[in-house]
Amino acid sequence: MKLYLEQVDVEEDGGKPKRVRWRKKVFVVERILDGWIAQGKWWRREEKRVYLRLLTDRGVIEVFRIGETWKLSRLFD
Amino acid sequence: MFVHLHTKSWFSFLEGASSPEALVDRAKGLGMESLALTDRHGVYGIVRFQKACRAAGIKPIVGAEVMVNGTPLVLIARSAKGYSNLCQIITAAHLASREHPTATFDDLAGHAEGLFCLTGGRDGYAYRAIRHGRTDKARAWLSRLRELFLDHLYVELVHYLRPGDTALVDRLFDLAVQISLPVVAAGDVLYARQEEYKLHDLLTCIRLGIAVYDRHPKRPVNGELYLKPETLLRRRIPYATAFENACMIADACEVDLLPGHVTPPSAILPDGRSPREHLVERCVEALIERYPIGEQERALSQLRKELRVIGDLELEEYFLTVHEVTEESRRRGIRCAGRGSAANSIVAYLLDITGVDPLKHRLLFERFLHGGRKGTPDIDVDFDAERREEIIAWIEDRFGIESTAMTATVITYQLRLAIRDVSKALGWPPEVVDQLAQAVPPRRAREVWSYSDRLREIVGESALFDSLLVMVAALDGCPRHLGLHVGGMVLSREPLHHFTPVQVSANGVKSTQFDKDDVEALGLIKFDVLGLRMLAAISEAVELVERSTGEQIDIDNVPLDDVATFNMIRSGRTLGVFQIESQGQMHLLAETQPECFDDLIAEIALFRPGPLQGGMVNPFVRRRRGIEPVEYEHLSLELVLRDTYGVILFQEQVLEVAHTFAGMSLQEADDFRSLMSKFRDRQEMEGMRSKFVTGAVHKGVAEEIANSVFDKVSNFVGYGFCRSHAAAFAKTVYQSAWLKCHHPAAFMAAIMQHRPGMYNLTTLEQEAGRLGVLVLFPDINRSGIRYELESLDGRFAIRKSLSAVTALSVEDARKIVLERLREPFKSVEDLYTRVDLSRDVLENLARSAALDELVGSSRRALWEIGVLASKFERAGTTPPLSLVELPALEEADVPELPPLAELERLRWDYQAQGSARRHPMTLVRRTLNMLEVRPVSICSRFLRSRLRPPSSKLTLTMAGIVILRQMPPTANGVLFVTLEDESGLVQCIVLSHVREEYDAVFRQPSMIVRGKVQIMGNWRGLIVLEAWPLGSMLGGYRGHASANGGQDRQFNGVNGIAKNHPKIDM
Repeated sequence: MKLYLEQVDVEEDGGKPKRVRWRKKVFVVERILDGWIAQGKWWRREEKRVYLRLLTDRGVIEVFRIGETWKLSRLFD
Repeated sequence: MFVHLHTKSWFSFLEGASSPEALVDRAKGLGMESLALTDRHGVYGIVRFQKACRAAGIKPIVGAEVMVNGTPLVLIARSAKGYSNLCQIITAAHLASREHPTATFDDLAGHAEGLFCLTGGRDGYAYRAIRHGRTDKARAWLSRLRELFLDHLYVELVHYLRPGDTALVDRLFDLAVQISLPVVAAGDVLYARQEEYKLHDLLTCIRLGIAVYDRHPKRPVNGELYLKPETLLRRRIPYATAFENACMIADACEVDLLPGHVTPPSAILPDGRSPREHLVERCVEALIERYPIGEQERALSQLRKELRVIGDLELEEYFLTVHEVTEESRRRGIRCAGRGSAANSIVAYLLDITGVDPLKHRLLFERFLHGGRKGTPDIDVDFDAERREEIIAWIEDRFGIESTAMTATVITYQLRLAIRDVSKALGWPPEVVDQLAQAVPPRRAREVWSYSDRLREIVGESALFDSLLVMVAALDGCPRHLGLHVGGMVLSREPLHHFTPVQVSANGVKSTQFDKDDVEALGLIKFDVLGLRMLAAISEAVELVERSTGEQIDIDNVPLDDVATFNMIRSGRTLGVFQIESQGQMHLLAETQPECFDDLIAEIALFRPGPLQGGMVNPFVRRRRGIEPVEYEHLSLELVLRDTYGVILFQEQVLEVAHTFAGMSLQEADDFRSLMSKFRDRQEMEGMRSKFVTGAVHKGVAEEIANSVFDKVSNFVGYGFCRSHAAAFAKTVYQSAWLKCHHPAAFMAAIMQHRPGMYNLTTLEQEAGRLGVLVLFPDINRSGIRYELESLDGRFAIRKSLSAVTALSVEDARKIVLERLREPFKSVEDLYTRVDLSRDVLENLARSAALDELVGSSRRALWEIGVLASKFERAGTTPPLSLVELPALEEADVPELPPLAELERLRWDYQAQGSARRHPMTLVRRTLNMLEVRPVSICSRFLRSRLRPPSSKLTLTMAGIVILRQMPPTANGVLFVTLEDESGLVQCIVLSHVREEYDAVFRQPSMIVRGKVQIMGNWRGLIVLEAWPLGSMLGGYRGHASANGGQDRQFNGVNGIAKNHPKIDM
């Protein structure tokens, strides 16, 4: 498992991620395994993060959305 | 429709972030038909919750989250029996541990009936066991619970939107299916709306004593514990039965805690007598005894009227039980006096609950009780503060320990406390936290915005400043912890666990989980057992007189028209007297010149925020003194307001005006009075005006006049006294004044013993001196455990008690006195070897001069104690055998010691006996004289002098130590500072612009002030124009000049003042 925190492009379908593009690779989402929310530090006005753990055709990845931006959080080997 | 069954409000202290009302409002907004409140460790908010549910038209479900063997369970009452069991389980948890209440399976065993049990959320045992992969443990735990709750046990499914929750919910569901337990969906709600997450997190930090920057496993990771709509929950908990079961549980619950009537405790009745018969007999007997034949008919008529109302409200037993308590108190020689609106009642008077004849003083029963009254009337009784515990113990014994407890008080966040807690949690250092909290007055937390500039000055530019203000305001009304009501004791006919859990306060007092309003809503009776130190002082003074002179004083029956007493009161020599000892009261006394007992009643009522704020004091004074005519806007008002010169002074007069002028019935008039005294919005106010004016016009009053009278009535806002309360207090005022006038030594000794008033010991000793009473310092062979009188040159002097010595406990004093009874102490060594006292206590005895008679000087006594401490292991021990024959102290052990300097004597006095034998200001008087800073007494000389300049031009400079500093909200920003020097007191009136200019000076413990003098009787006032600190000349009460650099520094300080202010003159 590796920690990345890099921006990714997420193609959504009805609010659910369908494909994730990262470093010219495409991850096709097969299933959402889990989802959770981390609120951020309210006294610093940080935005909340919505995390998703996804089963893709290339393995399990973890992404999160902060505002309108998606980022890759973890890549599971 | 889904029902949230696991919901905590801010009555889960420092955890939940919403009020019960906000939660109900949110549930109603989401279309929910029911809502449960399950606060942690209690049902503190349940009455408010039920009321809010009733108002919103949704069904309230009553429950609590209770720790059982260290993990939480949610228990929900489905019946009255279930509620009683819930209360008993919570009580057991609180009795097991005050800090961390927790019940056991044994506690649940006998009390599971009538309860639903939910297995708890994330912190619940099952949830945690599953999370750690211990399904076997979860299964065993659930099986054990099932044995207790049978088919009323539900596995709670909560999705917190934390990593792994989806799988956990699935595994919990699977386990429930495996062992055939039903499941229920829940939200584990901690706040109504998502944005309140911040407040919940902050409260969590406050509870844990950490800052927001600190990590802690108990802090929330997200804001998902708000009261969510069903659709959102269903997305995470995909089991329909879990939602159906929540509704089924809610449907099965039927608990109503608000009966709409009260149940008084049971009175002791003679055989075959009903409560009513017994009450009538007692009252009639007393009536015949107290009223002369000519007045009996009138009294009987009033009695009949009152008994009818009391009977209609079924309160006979209430009156009889209060009578039992006061009767027992008197039987034990414990002084007591009913106060408040109960003194309006002839029944209370005849039962000896109150001491004021309502007929004689025109008191109005309807202010106390009438047929339309909802809830119980308050009967408050003051007891000798020192012996109040005896009465409480007797009440517990009489009514049963299971049926009595003190009423709680919910301590909510006010501005200062909110600023303190929030700023600390936001990470500001302790010194800044202190500064912030001290920068604001005692106000509501939501008023923080008014002080933002002041607060910003302290913290400077900070990204957190806005959060500080927002969070402080958000804490307005939020409970912080549970306190004890000052005296409200609940007396229940049935065991209290039918109504409330009971918990134990820090000092071991049993209390309900409800405040006085909630207690009343539950149908319980509260009886205020208040401790009044002035009653203790009066008892003590009477005893001292009898002990020292043999004279027995029947203080309850001293004539109420004693000329000497009224002369003293009129001259303002009232320091120490109950209720009229403040500088403001002295000023008012000088203005109003009371001549009789009824004048005292008015005096007490005048000095209240209502009359002060409503601008009634000046018209009263001017009319009383004949400076302006007494006029009535309508003839019918003359009868009501004649004795107060046309001014509305008492709550009863509002009632009477509404009755006689606006034509309302007495019941309607009391409701009108009650509404007028509360917060009213414009619409409500106009409604009341319309009713009032219409009624008056109907009686033939011109509309213009009716409106004008309404305006005056409406000015009499909430904080006025009722006449009966003022009358009850006036009796204590008079008794204390009479004692001060005729037995000053005994009175002042008793006041020093009990300290019922506002002045410190030095001021009281100075006052005794002004009365010609010498105060003798403690003496190891003469002082007792309490203040005593000693005959000295044919007069009585006050001997300070041993307990007056700092750190010397009553237990220490008892040891000394008992040992002394065998034989007086002959030397310091004699005392040291015979009584086991700590080194601190012995040294304080030496410093206080209590040992001077043994060795000649305080310094030598202190030295000898030091030597003895080096030779003996501890005081109170026999010396080693070889030393028995020889004294432990030898001449060579004590060198020649210098006498104490004045400043040192002063410091030792303050340190060791809380006051000085000479006033600290005398030490700087010579210097002050050089600066033409005058003693306070000079005002009186000017008053007497024929050369007295017109008071508007009389400007003086004075100096003194600050005794009191007050800025009442009614005074429009005016600060009152009472200064004391060796010649007396002066009240400094500091207008807001002067206060702002000399803000730093007015925070000092001592100061020099210059201003225009006002003199009235014994009261001296100074309208301050300028001020300077005196601190560099004198350390104030807490130190001495040497602490600030010694005597040279004193002069430097004075010179400094002189340089800065070259024109210190008159």
